[in-house]
Amino acid sequence: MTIMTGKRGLMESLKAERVKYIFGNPGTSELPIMEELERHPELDYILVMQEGVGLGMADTLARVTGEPSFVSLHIETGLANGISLLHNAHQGGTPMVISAANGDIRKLAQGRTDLVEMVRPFTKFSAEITHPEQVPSIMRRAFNEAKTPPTGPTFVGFSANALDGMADMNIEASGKGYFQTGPDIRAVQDTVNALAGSKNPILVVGDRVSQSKSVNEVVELAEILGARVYASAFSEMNFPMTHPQFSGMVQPGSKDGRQKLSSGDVVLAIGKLSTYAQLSSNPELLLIDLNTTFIHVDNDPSEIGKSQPTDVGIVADPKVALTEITEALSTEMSGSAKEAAKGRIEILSQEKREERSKWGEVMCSKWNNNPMSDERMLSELASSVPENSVILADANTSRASLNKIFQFDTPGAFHNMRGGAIGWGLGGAMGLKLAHPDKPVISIIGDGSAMMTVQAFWTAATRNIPAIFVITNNGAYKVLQNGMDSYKKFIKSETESTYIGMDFPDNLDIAALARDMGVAGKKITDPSDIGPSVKTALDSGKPAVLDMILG
Amino acid sequence: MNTMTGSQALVKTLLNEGVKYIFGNPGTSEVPIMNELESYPELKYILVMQEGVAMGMADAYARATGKPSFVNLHIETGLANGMSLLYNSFFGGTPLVVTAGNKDIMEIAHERTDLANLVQPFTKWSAEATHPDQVAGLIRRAFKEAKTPPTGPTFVGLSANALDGNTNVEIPEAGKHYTHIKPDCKSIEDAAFLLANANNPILVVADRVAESDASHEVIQLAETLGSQVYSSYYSQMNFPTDHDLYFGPLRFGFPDSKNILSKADVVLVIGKMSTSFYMYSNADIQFFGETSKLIHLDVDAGNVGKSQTTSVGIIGDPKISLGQLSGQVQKIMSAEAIQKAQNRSNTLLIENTARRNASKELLDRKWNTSPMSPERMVAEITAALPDDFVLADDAVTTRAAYEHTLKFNNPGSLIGMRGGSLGWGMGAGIGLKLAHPDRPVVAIVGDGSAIMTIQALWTAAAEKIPILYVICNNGSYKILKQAMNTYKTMIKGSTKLDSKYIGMDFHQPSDIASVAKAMGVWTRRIEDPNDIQIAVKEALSLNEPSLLDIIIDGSI
Repeated sequence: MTIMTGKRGLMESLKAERVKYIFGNPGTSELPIMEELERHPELDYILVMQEGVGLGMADTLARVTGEPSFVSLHIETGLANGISLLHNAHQGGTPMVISAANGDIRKLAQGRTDLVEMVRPFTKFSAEITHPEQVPSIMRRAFNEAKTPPTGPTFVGFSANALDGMADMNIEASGKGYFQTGPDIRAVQDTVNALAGSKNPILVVGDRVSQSKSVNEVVELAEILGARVYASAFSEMNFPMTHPQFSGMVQPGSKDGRQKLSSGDVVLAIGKLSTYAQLSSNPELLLIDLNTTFIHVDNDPSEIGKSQPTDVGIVADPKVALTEITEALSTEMSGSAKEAAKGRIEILSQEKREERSKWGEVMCSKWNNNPMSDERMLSELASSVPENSVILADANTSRASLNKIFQFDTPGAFHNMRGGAIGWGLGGAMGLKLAHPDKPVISIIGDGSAMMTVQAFWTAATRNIPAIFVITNNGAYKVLQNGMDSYKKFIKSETESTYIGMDFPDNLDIAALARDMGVAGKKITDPSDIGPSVKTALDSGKPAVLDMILG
Repeated sequence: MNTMTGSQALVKTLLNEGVKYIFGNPGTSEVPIMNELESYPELKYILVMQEGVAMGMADAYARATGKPSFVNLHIETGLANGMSLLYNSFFGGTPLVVTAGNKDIMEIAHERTDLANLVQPFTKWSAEATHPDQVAGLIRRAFKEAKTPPTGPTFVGLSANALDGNTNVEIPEAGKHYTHIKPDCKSIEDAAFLLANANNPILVVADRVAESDASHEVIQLAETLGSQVYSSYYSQMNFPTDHDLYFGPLRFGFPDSKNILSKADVVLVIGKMSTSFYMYSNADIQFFGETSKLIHLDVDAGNVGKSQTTSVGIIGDPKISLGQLSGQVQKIMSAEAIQKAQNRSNTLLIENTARRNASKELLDRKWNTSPMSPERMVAEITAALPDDFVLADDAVTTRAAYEHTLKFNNPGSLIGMRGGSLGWGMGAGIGLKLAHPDRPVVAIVGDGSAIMTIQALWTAAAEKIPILYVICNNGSYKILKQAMNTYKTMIKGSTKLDSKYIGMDFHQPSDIASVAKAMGVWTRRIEDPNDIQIAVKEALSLNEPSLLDIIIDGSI
């Protein structure tokens, strides 16, 4: 035990938790922290000019390392600016600890904002340290909660007196976690019974697969079952995209999603069935028809049976659960069932071949579009990035094409936006580069999202973080134009729209904005420029923007 | 009674409230609203690329027009992005109505964010319409709450089914409001007694004075009493800054301000007492000396007597209350007291003259420095400003330089940042110009704040709004460097000012002019003060947005 200030206790706690970076934007209330930092050169403070950039960086760093990242924001005003992308981290279950300092607790009568309640809806755990004595235990708890599955963000506030006051502190890191919990054996039994007799099984993968490093286990299960595999979320590589049984994404809560999932007699989903994108009126309340047997595996007990009636709910680490299920299945499944499974794989393979062929035709038809098509741009990009590249995507309307063109197969090869808030990509790409200093990091970001946190370029330049930012520049909030088209068609039975608030009168000149903030930026209209530009950007060892003007 | 959708009920209610602009950034949940707007060209949607810009615009527009403004953001993600500057509006008491779409209420078992709860800490009133019949009534109430003193922001969430479902509800008219409340007579009597007999009275003004158009009443009272007048954070024209009795801003809670106030035996404060970002660790809650008697006048009953020992709390409309107070003071002031007041006025004139001379001397010393001093910059800008200027002030450290040359004595000529959140100024400039299409509008913005909502420039260009931005470019969060020095000396008792200022220096020079140009704005980068006047005049003659990126000294 040593007597020290609360602010020093904070630093020592961060070091004990192996934190390297503090992503932040300081204000007067954070001065004690900034002053203390001068004595801790091991902690690298990365200044961002808008808080969303810091959240993006912290998010990807944590998603790659699996360890909680740390963000320092300013009282209610800075903290509020981080909530939008904190929501994304919460939706996706990213382990991170965000913090903000508050006024002295002794001045309560004057009035102060309850920072804890502000962010409670978006955190697993949220508390304010009002006395220096509390520093070690609350910091430890915040990190512990962040990294205990289901992982997610936590918040710690610091009142001014807690930072400057002194107390006897015993700093100890949150310990090693033993998180690979196994399922209730009866749940496995019931699952195996259902699956063994299934004629048309469907697996649904979510990000929990990637988080529990259980891609191989899912593949094994899918293959033994001959199951079609959908992704309810694919912001991490949850299943190899080239695998013949992978059939693309479904949106839980949508009519189309319900139809697809209900086409199976048994559905086994791993991870959260996320409905954040389901925003129109009159959604499907049932995600899957009731006559389909629904099995749900997740390490988050509150997700199991939450809103969809569930036949078998399995609370467990997915890796352990899937291993047990597959083992039991290989014994339980009859010879003919296994044959039938193989037969299903054949059909799915054929279906996929046809789909790829159709996709090939789509690609051909858009190949020479002028302005460039999404598909052409992504194709050129895919063929020019090095093998070991890590890809980040934050381009809503390009997502489907991106998946078909890049066809990610390697765990950790890519990260996509999740949660719905735009503005994640630029910060996210920089965090990814910090996590992978020796690999090329290529990000594909929509123009609307880039503009939302365009301040990121200042940090990229100042800290020389050499990520490549490819902008899908189509001069619109394209996802909203698509949404308006659907709305008009299905809800209003109309056809025309003027797309108020969704069209940019002139394309955003993201390349110029980047250059003016100190990042090399190039506008590209000719697809044959893409390959050489990527090479030049990567060779420079500096951040670069490739602003693709699309039609 | 007509059958209409919730979206239609929303739009019709807005028209009844006299709303002209919708400041916003839409998402999928707002598509029903965007669709409805296609039938109402009289409502102009001003698109922003980052929600803070919409909040700044709405704040300044409401303060300049005196009527609640309207904002539409996207579910929790867009709404959260607006919260930082919503805090500023809440702190300052700006009347505005924020809305956001939400998921269909049926989805409550899946997951759904409680939007009303999310912004509740920063609103006077917040609710969500989960049924189409509720829409009109909730929107009308939101406007009512926003404009009823003490004014402030309100929020209404709009679930998808409320927007798309049908309703037969009648759309109400906006209704008249009678808000000029008279104070308790005894409070006026007791306050007048204290003031009339005071040996050293001080008046402190805040925005509530400007909002009730009471600056003349304050002048009258101050002159009757021969009292010094200070301002709590000066963010509207509350008192003419060139008046002989005006002695500048006070920072409640800071030692220097406490010293000043402790010398007064009676202090009259009108409005909210801003602590000017006093966020240091300190248990002392009292702003005033132990022997000072505080009279606090405000229209916000919750603010009067909140944390300070208050001798007389006056709850009422400031204009009416001050008029009554002056009348009562004049009635009861003895001949001796009147003489003392006169003596005080004479002494104060001498003091203020000395103060102004010191100010002039400082200006002279800073006239030819390189890099340019903020004082020189402000002097040059002032010389080029037409008399009828309106200023959006978001220059936290540069504003100290105003006192030498830039005077505010025209009501409504200043709308300043309040609350402390960065990013207000860029949006505010646009809102202020929309409110004053026929007057020259200038926004003076610190570089840190400008960068925080730099996306505002896109809107200024896209909407062709001829606002002139002046960026105080000192390459740092200078306020924090100053505050760090204060922290070191005042709290840590250090004698050395040797901080590394981690996180406060922009090591890369910010080329804000070029960034603005890339968004379609006319720009000039200025390092020589002699170039300022011409640039200001040229910019103001254009009919498009403009930005002067002025490189000034950042040393502390």
